[in-house]
Amino acid sequence: MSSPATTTAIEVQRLVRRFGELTAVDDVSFRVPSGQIFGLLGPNGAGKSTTIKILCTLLRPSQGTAQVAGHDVVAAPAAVRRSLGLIFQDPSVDDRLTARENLKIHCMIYGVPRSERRARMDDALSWIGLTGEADQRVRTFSGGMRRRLEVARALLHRPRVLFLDEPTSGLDPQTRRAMWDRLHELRERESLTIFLTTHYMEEAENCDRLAIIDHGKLVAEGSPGELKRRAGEERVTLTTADDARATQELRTRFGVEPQPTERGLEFAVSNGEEFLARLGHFPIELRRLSLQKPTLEDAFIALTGHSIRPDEASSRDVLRRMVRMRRRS
Amino acid sequence: MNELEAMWALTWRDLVRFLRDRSQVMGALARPLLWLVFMGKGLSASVHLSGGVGYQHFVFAGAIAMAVLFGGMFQGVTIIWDREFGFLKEVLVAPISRITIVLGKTLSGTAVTIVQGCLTLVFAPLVGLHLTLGAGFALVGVIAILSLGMSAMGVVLATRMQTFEGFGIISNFVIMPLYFLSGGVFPVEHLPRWMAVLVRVNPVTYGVDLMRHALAQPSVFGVGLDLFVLLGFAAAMVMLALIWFRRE
Repeated sequence: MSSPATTTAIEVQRLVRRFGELTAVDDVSFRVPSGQIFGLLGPNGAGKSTTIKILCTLLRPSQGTAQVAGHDVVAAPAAVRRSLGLIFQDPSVDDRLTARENLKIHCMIYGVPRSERRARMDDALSWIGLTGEADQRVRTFSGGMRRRLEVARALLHRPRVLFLDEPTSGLDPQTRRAMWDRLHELRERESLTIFLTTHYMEEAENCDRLAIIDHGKLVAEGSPGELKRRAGEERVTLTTADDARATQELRTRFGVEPQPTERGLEFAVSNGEEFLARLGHFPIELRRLSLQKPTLEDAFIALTGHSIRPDEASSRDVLRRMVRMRRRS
Repeated sequence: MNELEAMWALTWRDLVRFLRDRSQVMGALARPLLWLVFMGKGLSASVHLSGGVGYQHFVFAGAIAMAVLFGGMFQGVTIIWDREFGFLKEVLVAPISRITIVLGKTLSGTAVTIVQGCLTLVFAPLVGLHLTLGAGFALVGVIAILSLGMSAMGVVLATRMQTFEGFGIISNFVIMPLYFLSGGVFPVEHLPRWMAVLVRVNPVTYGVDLMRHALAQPSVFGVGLDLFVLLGFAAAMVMLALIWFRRE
C-alpha cells in the first residue's frame, strides 16, 4: 500500500476540546509520520489525556479534525479503532483472570481471526517473557509484568498506531527501561507508529519527535535535540596552566569568546562533543574541562516559563490507588 | 458475528470472575440460607398464614427474589468498577458497538444472577420443600426473566453513578423497598391501601407471585398478568439501559 495513510499516521488540525468553561485542548495541530515515536510532553492537566482520548475516539472534538491511519475520528470511529492499540494510564488488565484469559478476551472483542488466536497469544506471551506465567492469575503479577501484558495485549489485533497514555508512570526505573527496549524493538520490527503522553523528561528523550503542550496549547515541536538547542547554548568551562594565553588561542583557533569566571574560562559552543574532540591538539595544558548541555527540563522551562512538576494527586487518584492496593494484597 | 462473540466475551468474563471469587459465591449461598433458616424458622413459630402454607415454605420465593435482586443489581453496578479500573475503556475503544457493550454487560449480569438465584433452589430440601422437575424448570425461568430485569436496572443505575460508594444508597433505597414490598416476606392481601398500591406497582411482586404459582402455593394474580408485567419490566429496563448508556 502506498496511500497517504502509510506515510502519515496521525494528522491533527486545529483541534479544540472544551469542557464547559474550560478549554482543555486549544487549537492544537501536529502530524506524525508512520514509524515514528511521537511524544506529547506536558504537566498534568495540560490536555494530553484529552488529546489521546479524542484520537482514540473516546471523546469528540469540539472543533478541528483528527485522523488516525487515514481515518477521521468523528466520521469513521470504527475504522480508527480497528487500526489502533491503546495502553491506558491506569492498569486495565483483569486481575482475577489469567494472563492468557486476558489476551483471549481481547482477541474476542477485537475480532482477531479465530484460527490465528492461539499462535498470536503464544507469540505475545513468549515475547514479553510470560510463557511460564500464562495460566497464572494476573493478581499475582508485579506492576512491570502487568504493564508488559498490556503492551502485548494492545498489539494482538496488529494495530498500526500504538497509543500509550503515561506508559511508565508508577513503574520502577529498571522496568521502565525494559519497557522502552520493547517499544524500540517493536518500532524496528513492525514499523509501528507510537504515540505517547508523558511528563517524564527521561521518557521524552526516547521519542523521535516531541510536542510540548501546556494549558491546552502546543508551545513547541521538534526532536529532543532541537528543543534543547532552542532552550540555550552548550557551554564549555575549562581551566588551564595559562588562562591568558588560552584565551588568545581559543579566540584565534576556535572563534569562541571565553569569559573569565570563578570556575575558569566559560564560553558557548554550537556542538559540544565536536568541540571537545578538536580540543585534543590544544597547545596549553588543560587542568579541568566540563561541558554543560541544556536538558529537556531546561527546554521546557524556557518554552513554558515554568517547571513540569506533577501536581499533587487528586483525592480521586488517591482513592483509586488505595482500592487498588487493597485488591492487590 | 464479531458483535455476538464480543457479547459472549463479556459474559464469560463476568461468570469466571464470579465463580473465582469465593466470598461472592459464599455470600450468594449464605444470604438465602440465613433468610430461610433464621427468618423462616423464627417467624414460622408465631406467624400462621391462611391457605395452609408454613412460613418457611412461604418465604422460599422471597429468598429467591432477594438473591436475584441483590445479585442482579450488584452485577449491573459492576460497570462502575469496570469503569474505575480501566476494563471498560478497553471495551469502549474496541471496534464493537455501544449496543453490544450494554447488552453484553446486561447478559453477563443476568447469567451470574441466574447462577445465584439457582443456588437458592439447592436449599429447598432443607426446609422440607420437594420441588418437582416441572416446578424447578418454571422457577429457573422466572429467575431468568427477573435476573434480566434487575441486572439491566443495575446497568441503568450505574450509568447515573460516578462512584461505587453509591451502592449503599441503591441497597437501602431501591433493593430493600423492592424486596419488602414484593410479597416475598408477607402476604399482600390484607395491607393498608397505600401499601397495597406500592406493592402493585412493584414489578418484583409479579415475579414472586409467578414463583408461588410454580411452587403450587396460593397466588394473587393470574399467570398471564404475572408474565406480562415481568417481561415488560425486563424489556423496559433493557431499553432504558441501551438509551442511557449511549450517552456515556
